[in-house]
Amino acid sequence: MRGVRTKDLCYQYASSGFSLQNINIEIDEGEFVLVTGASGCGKSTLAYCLSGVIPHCIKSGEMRGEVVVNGKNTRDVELNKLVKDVGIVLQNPESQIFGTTIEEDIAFGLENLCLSPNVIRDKVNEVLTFIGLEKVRGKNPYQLSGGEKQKLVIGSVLAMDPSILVLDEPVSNLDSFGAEVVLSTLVSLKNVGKTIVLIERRIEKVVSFVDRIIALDSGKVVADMSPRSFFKNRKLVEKLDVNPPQVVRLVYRLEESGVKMDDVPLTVEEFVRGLNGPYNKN
Amino acid sequence: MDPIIKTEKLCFSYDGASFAISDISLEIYRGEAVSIIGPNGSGKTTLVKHFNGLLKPTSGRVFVNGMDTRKTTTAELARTIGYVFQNPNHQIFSNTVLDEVVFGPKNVGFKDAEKLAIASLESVNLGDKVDASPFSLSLGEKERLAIASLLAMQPDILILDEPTTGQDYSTCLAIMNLASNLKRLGKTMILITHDMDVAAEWTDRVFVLSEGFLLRQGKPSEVFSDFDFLQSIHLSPPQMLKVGRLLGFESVYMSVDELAGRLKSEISQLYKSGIVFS
Amino acid sequence: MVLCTTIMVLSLVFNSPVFLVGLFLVVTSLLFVARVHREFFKRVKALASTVVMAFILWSLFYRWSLFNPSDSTEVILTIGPITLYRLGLIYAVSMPFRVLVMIGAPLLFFMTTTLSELVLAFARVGIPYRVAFTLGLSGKLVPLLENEFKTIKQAQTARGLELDKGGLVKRVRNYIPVLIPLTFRSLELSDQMSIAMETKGFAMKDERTFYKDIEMKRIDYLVVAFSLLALGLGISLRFFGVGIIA
Repeated sequence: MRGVRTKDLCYQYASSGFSLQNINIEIDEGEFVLVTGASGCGKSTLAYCLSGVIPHCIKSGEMRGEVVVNGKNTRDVELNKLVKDVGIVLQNPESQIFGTTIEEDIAFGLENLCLSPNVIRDKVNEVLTFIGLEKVRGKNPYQLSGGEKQKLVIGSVLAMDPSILVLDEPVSNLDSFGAEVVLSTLVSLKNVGKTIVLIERRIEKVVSFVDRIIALDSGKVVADMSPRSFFKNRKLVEKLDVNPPQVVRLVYRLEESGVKMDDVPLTVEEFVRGLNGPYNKN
Repeated sequence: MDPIIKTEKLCFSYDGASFAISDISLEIYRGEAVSIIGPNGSGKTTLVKHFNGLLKPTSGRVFVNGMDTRKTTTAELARTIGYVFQNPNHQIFSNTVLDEVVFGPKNVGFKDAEKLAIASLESVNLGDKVDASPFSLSLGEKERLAIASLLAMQPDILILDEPTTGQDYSTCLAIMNLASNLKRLGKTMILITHDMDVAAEWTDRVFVLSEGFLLRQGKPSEVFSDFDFLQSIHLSPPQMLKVGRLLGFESVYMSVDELAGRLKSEISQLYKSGIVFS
Repeated sequence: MVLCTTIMVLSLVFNSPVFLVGLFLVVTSLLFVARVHREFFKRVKALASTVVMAFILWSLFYRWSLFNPSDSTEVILTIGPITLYRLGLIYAVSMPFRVLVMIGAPLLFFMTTTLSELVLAFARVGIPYRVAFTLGLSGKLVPLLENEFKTIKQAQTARGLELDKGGLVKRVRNYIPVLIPLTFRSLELSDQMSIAMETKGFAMKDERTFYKDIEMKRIDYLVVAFSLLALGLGISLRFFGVGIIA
């Protein structure tokens, strides 16, 4: 099966309780899934499990159950074989950049995989074009803006051609422009068939692009559905301490005055379109 | 009324080659809640670090409560102006929460530092964590702890650098409510943020920076209504403003509550007459 | 790299002002070629006061102690208890140039070689990639931690911490509120870095391919040969007493 699935996944860090409990999720190839929840709910732990970081890099806790990526069990396969199937982008771009120039950074992973220089060269060119950094290929990565740095990190992970990309709060430290830069890159990736698992709390801009929202609360999955169905459940949204888009909050307030709705708007345009009557004549 | 903070043609350069901020002249008045907004790299933090003397002007002058910052040390200024840095992990080092909060007031010479610390912790709702280790706190609690540490120094002015970034929704609300309370108690609040929603709802005036220049200042309702301006500096207006604009409203509604108020009566009228919102 | 080491050694070998000035000119011209002269002059400016002071000290208080004593110390000037020897003056002129060469040559090296080239050079020479890479990584970590250090210092200064006050013991204690957050941050950062490396396929083994490679081109061989020659010549000349004054 292409994609990633977990079966009864549990994880316990050395000193505390279960960070993840009985997680059973299935993400198919080509889906764009948002994983969200309050801080401490286990989102990052899940990201690590899906990408093989647990159990290979983080060995201090105990993992039970299994994670299968493109048919491979993450426990049985070494990390440097898994990287061709799944890649992970972390929150802080500075700790993920290893090249002295932008193109060297993209080549880094490919060098580790011992590919021939010619193959590496082609791949680097391809990725540079895709992320739009080919004009600055020889520059020092630290001169880039925050959003561009994250784009570079995505590029360097992309170079190894994983079919699944996991991103752990990649835009939480970026300004709105940087966040847009990263998001549009993710949308382009979805359009070329990549599977994207995005862990985020800043969801206002993302919700209209994702296929599903998986919500975690204290290590358990409490929701796994389309964004519209998710936001229809106001109690759940509030319990999860997630900040819904302003238009959704607006709809909640209007509901209090008795206005029922069939479908939840995710964007400003949808909200306005949804209002019948005199407003639409403006 | 004299401004509590005033800058005159303030310029600063880190490396002597290019200016991080250029020619900024502004005034902030006692008791205001202002936000300094702009994209990353626009000079927001550089500007604000001049307020408490962490940076001294390359040219131009900065006055805080009448004092010229070039002639005053940061330690002296710390009695008037408290700067809560963006990442609480850059500040936390003590064994207990109480020790952490006592640090500041002790440094500036308060004899009843412990009392001030406890009061300050109560005001941020961390009164029950006095003996806990600060490292064991959650992200939201750490942010409140950082604010408490600076509050305990009894500053007249409090600067919050990106207090809501990375925080859960309830923590954001708690922090911004706290900021409003502090303003009500007479403190001057300065917020650095790139979150337009927060700036729109919680502050009286905004200063917009881009590439080191102060491009605009004014009430959020004025500044944020200029969509073209915002777009030119890669900022997007809060959704509520966009909705108001698309619906053709003349008044500007800055928050969900405000817009809901306007729409409520009108929509329930329409609803009653058979028009359904779908 | 070899060239710069040669220059440094040569500057130690000779102490005639003529030679040292000559070396200084060589270094300066190379700096110009590499277009890094600005950096150099910045550093020199910072040291200018020290250099001038050293000049004065050396010329006024010169005494034979390290080299073969000679009786032909010409006295140029005597003001009260202070005697100005001719040798002293010469020494005072040449030493600053030696210092400048010692600053300029390494600077030349570091500013013209990128970290990755250095790492590659080590790897080519035979040092295992693991070691070379770790060195390179520390090179990257330093500026990152420097930034964190600055920020933490500022955050604590904003809480009234005064780092410059007090005697030695107090000053060390004052740094605790800076060092503890710094330690945690560096642990956090290095944790993230190691996860990032491993998920890019990095394993602590030595097989890898290189995207960009450095080669010993013809000119590199020439430079190395030339430097070794100059070094050999210099050392032998020294033995024959050339380039030394007294």
